[in-house]
Amino acid sequence: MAGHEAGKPLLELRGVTKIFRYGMFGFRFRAVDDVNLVMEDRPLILTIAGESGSGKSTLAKIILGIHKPEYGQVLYRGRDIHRLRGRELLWFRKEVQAVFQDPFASFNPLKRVYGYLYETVKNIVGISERAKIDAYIDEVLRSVGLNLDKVKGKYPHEFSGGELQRVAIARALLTRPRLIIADEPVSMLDASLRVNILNVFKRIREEMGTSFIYITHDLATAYYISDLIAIMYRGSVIEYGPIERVLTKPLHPYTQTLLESIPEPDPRRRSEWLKPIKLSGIEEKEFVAKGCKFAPRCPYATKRCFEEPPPEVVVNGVRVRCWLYYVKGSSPAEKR
Amino acid sequence: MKTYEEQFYVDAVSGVTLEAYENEVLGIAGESGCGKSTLLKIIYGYVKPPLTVRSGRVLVDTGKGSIDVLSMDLEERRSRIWWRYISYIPQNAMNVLNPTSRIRDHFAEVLRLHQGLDREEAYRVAAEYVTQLGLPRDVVNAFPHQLSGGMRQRVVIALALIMKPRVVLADEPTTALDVVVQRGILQTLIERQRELRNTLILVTHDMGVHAMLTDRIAIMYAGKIVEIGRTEEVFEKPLHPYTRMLIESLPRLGDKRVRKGLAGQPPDLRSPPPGCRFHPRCPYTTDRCRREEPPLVEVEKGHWVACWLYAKK
Repeated sequence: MAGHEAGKPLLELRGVTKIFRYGMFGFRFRAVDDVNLVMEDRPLILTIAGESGSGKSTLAKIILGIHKPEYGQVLYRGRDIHRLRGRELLWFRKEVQAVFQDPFASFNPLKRVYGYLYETVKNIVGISERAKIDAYIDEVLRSVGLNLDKVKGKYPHEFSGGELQRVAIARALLTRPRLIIADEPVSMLDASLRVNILNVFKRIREEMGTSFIYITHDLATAYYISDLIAIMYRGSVIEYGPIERVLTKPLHPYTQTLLESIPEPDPRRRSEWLKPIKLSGIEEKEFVAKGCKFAPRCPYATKRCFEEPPPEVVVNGVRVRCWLYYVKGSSPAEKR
Repeated sequence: MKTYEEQFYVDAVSGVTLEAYENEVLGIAGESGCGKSTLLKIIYGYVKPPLTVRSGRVLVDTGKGSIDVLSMDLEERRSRIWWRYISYIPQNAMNVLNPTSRIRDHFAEVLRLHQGLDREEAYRVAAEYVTQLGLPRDVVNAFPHQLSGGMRQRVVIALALIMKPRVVLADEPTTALDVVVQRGILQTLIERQRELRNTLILVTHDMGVHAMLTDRIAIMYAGKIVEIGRTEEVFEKPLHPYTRMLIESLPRLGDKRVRKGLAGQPPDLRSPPPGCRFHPRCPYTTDRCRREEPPLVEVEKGHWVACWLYAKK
């Protein structure tokens, strides 16, 4: 856990591991495997990116305190969030808020959305006078491009997906959180509307100093809004660092493959993208692999990659879990 | 005019005229509810209530004259055109396989019906065919649930292509898949198209996929084609304000410039706005746009747009 001595981090994950069991023989796999992350205490947007099944949503739930990890700790401003009780827990819930993928699933269809906003202000923020509550809700709704008149009296189905997602963001903002965890908040929306929500995040960060953890599989939107990125693969964070560096000079072979495969809206990249790639049929097995989970698909894999889990190596401020970059010690991993 | 019926009519696909050529990949792009999937279903002739076609024809060149897909009944389409001339790869294709039969039986059924092969022969042909496509040979002996989503999707594509159809219709064929798997599958699809020199009509909302695969692209908005042209041209020089805003709203790697999304939302197609259907969201709206529907005009060779900004010139 190097590199956080100066100043207190906002969020710190130490060796976080979540084990799920399934099947009748209690088959176990690590949905999140030894994740270490440090997020400084200043307004930042951190992306946790990965494909389906990479463990990114499980990790989000761990950070929110919904899942408890089997090993490791999540420290929020120095406090282990899975040990918080009573007043401290309430404090944590004020400070850390969530926005989820499907806004229609976040609101009860039979309940007016205003009710959610009202209750949050009354119970968590602690304003009790009706007029003051409404004034406060209106102010927050305006920061996401809505206002009280547009929202009051309406049921969820009366909003479009983009509008309701804004309401969900406003609800999260009501407690003046220091950190918002947004799990695929734009993937249900049409492409032409996504950027509007992303711009709301950027503005909130600038105006209110809120930090974000943006969880997504979409690296283009991640690049657009984030400062830092953690790339997950089969439960492990395999690369973590400033987004500029990770997405323009990727170190890990998986990050490289991922970036090459994104279909970008630019026909000039076509011939490169059409260069044939091979696909593997084995996916489940990778979770329980002994060594590096990417080894079976990696063009640079050596014997060691299959046998030992790769160490976390720091290269130019980027942490990468790959034997390719390991130089200290006896036998450095070779490029083949 | 093609319409959904449900006590009221939803004008889901409206006055679309479209040509797709031999040895071409034609993309149909647009956002949710624009009618792109409905259009594809109509081209396939898969018209079942609540979907009804109120007017129009879908002509397919079979090599021995053209036939109107919509003039046949469902049974006739099934026995005479589907698989052989037109194949359809549906959305969520990975869930269309029958969970209780092995992959080889899916192939055998098609081969028996359309080539009159017996079971043993069909199994042999199927095994050979999948290895040709680069799939592992034992895929044919597996049940669908034993395969990964990506592998199932490739099986469905292989099935759709086995009779070497002249026209292949693919509706969001890789939407639920990871980008690496998506790339592999789309590569298979395009390789097959080049080999057969047939027509692939690809529907997806993903503009990136269009940029990587299609020769021409048609942009749909609220049931209408608003622009059509060569893919490079449409991306480099989009004409319709909707196309322009759509392309400009897409974040790109390596580019942090501030982007703007569209304001507002698509119209309710139970009562579409008069004139141009995009006018309520368009920054260039004039009175004419509110009253009259713009015609599709050819601005440059092969590049068509339905917008009064260009029609009046």
